[in-house]
Amino acid sequence: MSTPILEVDDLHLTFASRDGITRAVEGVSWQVYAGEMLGIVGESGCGKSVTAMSVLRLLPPPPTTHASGAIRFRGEDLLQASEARMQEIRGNEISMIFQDPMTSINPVLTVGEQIAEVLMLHQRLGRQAAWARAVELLALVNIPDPQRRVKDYPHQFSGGMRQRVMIAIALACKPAVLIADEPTTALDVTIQAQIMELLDRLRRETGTAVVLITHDLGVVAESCDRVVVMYAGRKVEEAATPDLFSQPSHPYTRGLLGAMPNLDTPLTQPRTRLAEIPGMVPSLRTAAVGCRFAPRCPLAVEVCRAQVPPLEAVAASNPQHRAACWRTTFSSEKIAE
Amino acid sequence: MNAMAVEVSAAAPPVQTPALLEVRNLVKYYPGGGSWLRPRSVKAVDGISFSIAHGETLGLVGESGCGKSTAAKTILRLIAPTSGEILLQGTDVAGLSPTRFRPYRRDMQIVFQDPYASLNPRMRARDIVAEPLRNFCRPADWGDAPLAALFERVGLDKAAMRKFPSEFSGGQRQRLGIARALALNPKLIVCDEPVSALDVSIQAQVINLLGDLQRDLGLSYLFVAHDLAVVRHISHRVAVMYLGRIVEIGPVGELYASPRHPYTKALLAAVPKVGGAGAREKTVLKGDIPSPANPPSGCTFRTRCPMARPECAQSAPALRPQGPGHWAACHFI
Amino acid sequence: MDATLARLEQRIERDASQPRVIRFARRHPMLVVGLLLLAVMVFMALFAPWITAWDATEMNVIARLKAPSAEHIFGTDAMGRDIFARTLYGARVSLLVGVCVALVSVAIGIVIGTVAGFSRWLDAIVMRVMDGMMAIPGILLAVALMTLIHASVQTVIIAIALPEIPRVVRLVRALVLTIREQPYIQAAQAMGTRLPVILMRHVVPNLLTPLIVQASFICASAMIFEAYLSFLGAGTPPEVPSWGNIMADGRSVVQLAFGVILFPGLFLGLTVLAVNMIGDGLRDLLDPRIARKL
Repeated sequence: MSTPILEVDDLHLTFASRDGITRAVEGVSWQVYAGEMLGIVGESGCGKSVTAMSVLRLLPPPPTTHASGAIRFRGEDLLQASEARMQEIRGNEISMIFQDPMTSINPVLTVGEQIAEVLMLHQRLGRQAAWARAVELLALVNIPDPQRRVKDYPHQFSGGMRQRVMIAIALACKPAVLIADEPTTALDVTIQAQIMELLDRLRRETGTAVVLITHDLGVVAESCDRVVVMYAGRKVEEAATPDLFSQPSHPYTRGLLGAMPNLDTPLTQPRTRLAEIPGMVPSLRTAAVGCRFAPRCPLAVEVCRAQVPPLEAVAASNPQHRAACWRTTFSSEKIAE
Repeated sequence: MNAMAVEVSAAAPPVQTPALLEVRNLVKYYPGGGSWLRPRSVKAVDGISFSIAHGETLGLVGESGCGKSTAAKTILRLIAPTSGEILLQGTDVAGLSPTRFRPYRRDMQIVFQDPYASLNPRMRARDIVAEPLRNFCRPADWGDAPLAALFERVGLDKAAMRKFPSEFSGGQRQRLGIARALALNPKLIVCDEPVSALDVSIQAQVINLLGDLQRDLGLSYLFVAHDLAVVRHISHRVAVMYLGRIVEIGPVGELYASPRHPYTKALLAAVPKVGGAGAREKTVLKGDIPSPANPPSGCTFRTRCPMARPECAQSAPALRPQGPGHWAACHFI
Repeated sequence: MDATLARLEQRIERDASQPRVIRFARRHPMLVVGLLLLAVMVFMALFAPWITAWDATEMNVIARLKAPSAEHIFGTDAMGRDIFARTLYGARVSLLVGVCVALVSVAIGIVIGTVAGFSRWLDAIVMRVMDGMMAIPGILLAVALMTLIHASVQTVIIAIALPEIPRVVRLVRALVLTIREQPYIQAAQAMGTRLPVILMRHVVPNLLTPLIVQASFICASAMIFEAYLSFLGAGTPPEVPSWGNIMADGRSVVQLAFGVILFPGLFLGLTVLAVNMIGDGLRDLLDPRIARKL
């Protein structure tokens, strides 16, 4: 196992407003290695998006936002880096693509200008060279007739094609890491399949590490090498993809998988009910004592409410598959019933 | 993967009685596509026909631009149909004047997709649910007791009646929308993407609620959605739409297990699945969905179809029987 | 990090423990200052008879054009009338005109704008009429109206409100077009709610927030407008003191007794400032998108 190209180490993020302090992320750590695709899954409010935004330092500065911990890119701590250094990194060594292709690209500039801008800024290419490269990039992301299309405006493209344009802009400078924040949520399922296939092919060809943030477990199951599951600002489980789906350990992961209707389960008449997770995600305003999932967990016992469970291996044979649960991990035998 | 506690709803399969809703050749064209010199209509719904029996759920699936939402709203006459028949228990309501149609609204209600925009932010929950009752019933029917019963039925606390929509979560607002739709005891509820905007764990709660209500009250649903797994779970029959036309319709088990139309096959193949190993054999459809303002001639799917041949541009295929209750529109199957 | 957080939490708690009024004042200083200033003006207008012994119309030719003194705080004008008294009583008229113009134009604007937003063919007719009205400079329109009808405070209100209506109609129409597309309106239709009820129960309440802000700006501009009209001689009749009137009278004697223009002008300026501040403050207060920052 080589060193990770991007590592988030014990990240804590809090947002302060007049109504109080929101602990958006509490003690989250993950790593991504060159050439792999890491999936970060969770529902709304779990903190996955703000974790990604904090990698590129896109969040407002203190006192609105406080971050502690470390985010290491090739060993360099990005939380301590200067703004000038971050400008060098954004779009160049670490890129990001967003959910809504309508609003993530500037509608008043042509597509070619937006791709060329990145190239001229970071790679010091001249106008001619940058535009030529822009045409190559459009071809790379499978946009037909790129010579003509490079001069078109975003509104002349469909949603799926705009997302490809965003991918082209992001990959223009051959970044080491690409962060994709819900890139296919707003797209139709057949277009989603095209985009995921494109991302997969590109990352294999260029060796870019991809961090895929999504709420769709299916997309993760098909495309990602490893998965991190987040709940209410904390990481609750992480594993290699096949392990996570064949042996989900944390009750939340199991709950999520049970709540999703599956195309392969037999259709009974009458239907079996979907397994619900009762209750709602807790408010992140209050500091939590113990496991955040405890109020909704069918397996919760006293210790769950009293102490935060550590991240531990699920089985001795597989130290890479870890979960934060007092009841279901390898060491749970130590906990008295 | 439904490994956690499972409860089985004890209901009998729907009886095949005369249809509650029958739609024949429903068409909705919008002017405005094309240019001034060559005006074209946007063919949002281009002649669809189906029926829904009592106590049955028909799933309507398709991607953007296929016209499923337009079709759903046209059936409720929130959008005026261009032509076609809408038979509610045998009576054609498509051509009735708004005043004469109004009493039929009691039988067909709707639940919307956006839990935030489908409730008036300035009205209390109580008044939102009471509104349909105020339109048609006597004051006793919208008193505290009947309203509290409605709230309870959808799993909301009585104390919630005084609150404003902004004080509820997304899932609770959707429950509120369902309570409002139930108020008049309709026979059919059109669900326009009711769970798309919700998190997975909340989706399950709302889907279960809809299933329970169908079992308890004998409701029929027209369930419009783009999530194929959800539709499979809740529907008895499913219709697949593409660019304003139904390309395949049939019983849910058969349609999902043996899809006949190439679009249905591609759609099912594109759904990311949990459980299979990573990369799998997939025919990814090429190209983008054509615009409804400028649909391809003949079979509208031919521009993306792996089986397309010159004949496909000549004529649009009609729905042909593929099995009991199962129809598909393709020249080659 | 924990130390910073702890301090932050303490600060938030301290803020939260202050009385609500103080908290409100600290977050919305413009609104509060504007309200206070306006309150002072309204107080003076209402309690004018108790604040000053002088009558606004009593002429005393002997004491013409006196400078400010203990007896006449702001001095006297060309007819010997006490300027302070005239300013205070003038406040009544100006404030009345401002408020009434705002109410009238918003009320009429809501009706016309909602109709235009909902009915496509009426929309075309109405908006062309509004465009026509906006093409005529407001002052000319008002002056023309005043020459046609007998001058009084009521007619001044109408003359000023009329040019303001098209702007309100535009705003209301734009809002209605957005509201119309909202699912809750379609839901109301699906439930059989009749159109007039939809308008009253669903559309109008959701219009009020931006309209309140607009109304305050109309009030401010109406007060200045009234001053213009009076200055031109087409405003409130000369017997009724309004700030514009007072300044118009004093035009010829400003070098001898500048107080005739200075004091009413000052009061007018402060009042308009106050109302504008209230408008800005309200807009910030009512805008849900402005995050509640520290």
